[in-house]
Amino acid sequence: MLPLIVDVNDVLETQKLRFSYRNGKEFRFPDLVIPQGEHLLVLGASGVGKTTLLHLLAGLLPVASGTVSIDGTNINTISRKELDDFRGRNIGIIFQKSYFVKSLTVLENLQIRQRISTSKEDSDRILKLCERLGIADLLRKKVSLLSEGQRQRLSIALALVHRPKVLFADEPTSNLDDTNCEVVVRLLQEEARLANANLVIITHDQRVKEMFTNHLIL
Amino acid sequence: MSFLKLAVKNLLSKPLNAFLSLVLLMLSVALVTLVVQVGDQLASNFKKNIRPVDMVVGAKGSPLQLVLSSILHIDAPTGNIDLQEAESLSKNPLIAKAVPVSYGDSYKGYRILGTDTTYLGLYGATLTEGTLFEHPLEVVLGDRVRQALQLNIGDTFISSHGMAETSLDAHESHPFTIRGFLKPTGTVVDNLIITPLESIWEVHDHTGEEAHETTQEAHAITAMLIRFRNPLGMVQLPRYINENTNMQAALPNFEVQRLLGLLGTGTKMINAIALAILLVSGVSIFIGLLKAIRERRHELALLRIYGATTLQLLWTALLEGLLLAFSGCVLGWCLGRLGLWVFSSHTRSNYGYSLAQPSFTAEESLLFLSVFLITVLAVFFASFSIYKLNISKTLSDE
Repeated sequence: MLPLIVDVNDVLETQKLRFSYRNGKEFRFPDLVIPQGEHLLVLGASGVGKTTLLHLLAGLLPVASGTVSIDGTNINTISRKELDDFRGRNIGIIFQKSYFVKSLTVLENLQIRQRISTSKEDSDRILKLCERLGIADLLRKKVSLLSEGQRQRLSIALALVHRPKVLFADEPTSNLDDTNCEVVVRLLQEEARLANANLVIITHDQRVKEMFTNHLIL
Repeated sequence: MSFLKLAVKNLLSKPLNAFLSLVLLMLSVALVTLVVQVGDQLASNFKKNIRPVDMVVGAKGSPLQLVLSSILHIDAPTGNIDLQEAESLSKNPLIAKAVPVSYGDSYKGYRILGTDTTYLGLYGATLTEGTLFEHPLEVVLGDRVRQALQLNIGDTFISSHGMAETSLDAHESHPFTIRGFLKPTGTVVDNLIITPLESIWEVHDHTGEEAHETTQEAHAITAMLIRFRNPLGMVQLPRYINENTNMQAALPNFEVQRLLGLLGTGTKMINAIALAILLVSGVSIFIGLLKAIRERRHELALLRIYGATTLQLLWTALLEGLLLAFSGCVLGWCLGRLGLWVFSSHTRSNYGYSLAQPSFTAEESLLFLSVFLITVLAVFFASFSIYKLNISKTLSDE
C-alpha cells in the first residue's frame, strides 16, 4: 500500500480558495502554503477581504469552492461538530476587538477556554503564559475592569492557552501607538515561536510590514 | 470551569432579573402548595370527624352552625333542646345510637363536653391512663389537652363560662377532677375535656336567687348525635324532626360538603391566581433570558470559537433556567410550609385544630414538574438565536 503523501511540514495550506457573499460580492484568494512554525503577514487595504480570508482559514465561514487544510485535515469536508472540535483544539484567534465572557474573571475565562478546547484545565500553563504577558496579577479580576492594554494581552493569552497549531490575529495593532504596536507584534511572534504555532497576522497597518519576512499582499 | 459554573455566574451577573423571576416562581409555588395543603387537610379533618355521626339534632337555627358547633366544635351552639324530647327520639327503631352532648364551658380555651361514655365509642377513644368518669365533675382529657395543660390524674381545675381563657365568670364552687387520659385519636376528641352530662347541669345549677330559674332548663342538652341503624333513617328522620318537633335535624355529611364546596370556590380562585403568577414568571424567565442571550451573543460566538457546540450553549442556557426553577421551587415550597405553619398555629389557637406539616407530596411533584416544563419552554423559545448564531458575522461587527 502506498503511503498517503502529505507533507507533514506544511501546517496550513489553501487551494483555489473562493468565497461569495449573498450580495454577490466575490473574493478569490491566492493559494497559501505555510510550513510548520512559519509566520505570515497578510497586508491589504480595507474591503479586499482580509477578514473574510481569516474567517475562511479558521473555519468560521464555509468556502464557496477550494480547500483549507490545517495539519493535514481538510476543514471543509468534516462535519460541523468535528469542525467545532477541531477549531477549538487547533486554532487560536485574536480579534480586532477583544471579546470575553463578562460574568467571569480573567482566570475563569482562561480556564473555560482550556476546558472547552482540550477538556482539561492546566493552571501551570495559564500561570506561565500570563506571567510572560504581564497579566499574572490580574487573574482574579473581572474582565470588565481591565484596561485596553490588559484586554489585548488577555486576548493573546486566550488565543494561546490551549496550545493551538495556528494563531490568527485580525488587525491586532490598529488601535495602538508605535511603541505598543511593536511590543504586541513581538509578543505574538515570541509566543507563537514558544508554542511552535503558525502565526498569521492580517492587517492594513504598514508599520508591521518590516517585522515580517513572509508577506502576502491582497 | 464547567458549563454549570458558567450558568451560575451568568445568572448572578444579572441579579435583578434573576431575583424578579425567582420571587415570582417562589410566590406561585408557595401559594399553590399552601392552598392545596389547607384545602386537603381541612377536608380530610372534617370528614374524619363527622364520619361517626349520621345526623345531629339540636335547636333550630343554621344547620351548618349546628354541625360546626356540636360535631366539629368550632362554632357557638344554636341553643339548647329538651333532653326528654331528644331521648324520645332515640327510641325510634331506625336509630342505632343516640349520644347526647352538652357544652358551653371551657378551661384555658379547651372545651368541656358533657356527654356519656358512648361518645368515646363513636371515635374509638380509649384510655391510656386512669379511669373513665363515673360521677359528675369528673373528667377525662383528650391527648392534646393533656399535653397542653400538663396536669396529673387527681388534679382539679375550675371551668369558666363560655370560651374565654380567663373568665370573670368562673364556676369556683364546682371544681372538676381529672380521672383519666385518652389515647390520641386524630379527631376532635383530642381537643376536648370530657365529663358526664350531669356535671354541666351541676355547674350551672347556681345556688341563690337564680336557682329556680336555671333548674327549669337544667335537663337540657345542646345536641344529640345520631347514628342510623340503616340508610332509611337518612330519608325519613330529618324531615320528620324538622316538621314535627321544635328541634332541628342536620346531616353533617351534607353540610360539610356544602361548606367545602364554598371553600372550594375560594381555593380555585387562589389557584387560578397562582397559576397566573406562574405563567408570568415563565414569561419573565423568557424575557430575561432572551435579553441576556442577545447581550451575550459575542460571548456565545466566542465560546463557539473555543470549540463549544450549539448544543452545549443551549445546555448552558437551559441550566440557567433550571437553576432558577429549582431554587424557585425549593424556596417556594419552604415558604408554603411556613405559611401552613402560621395558618396552623392560628387555627389551633382559635379553633383547637392544627394542621400537619407533610413532607413532599405527589401533588407537589406534579407542580414542580409543571414549573420545570414552563421553564424548559421559556428557555427553548428564548434560545432560537443560539441556533441561528452566525459566528463570523457576530465577531466582525463593531
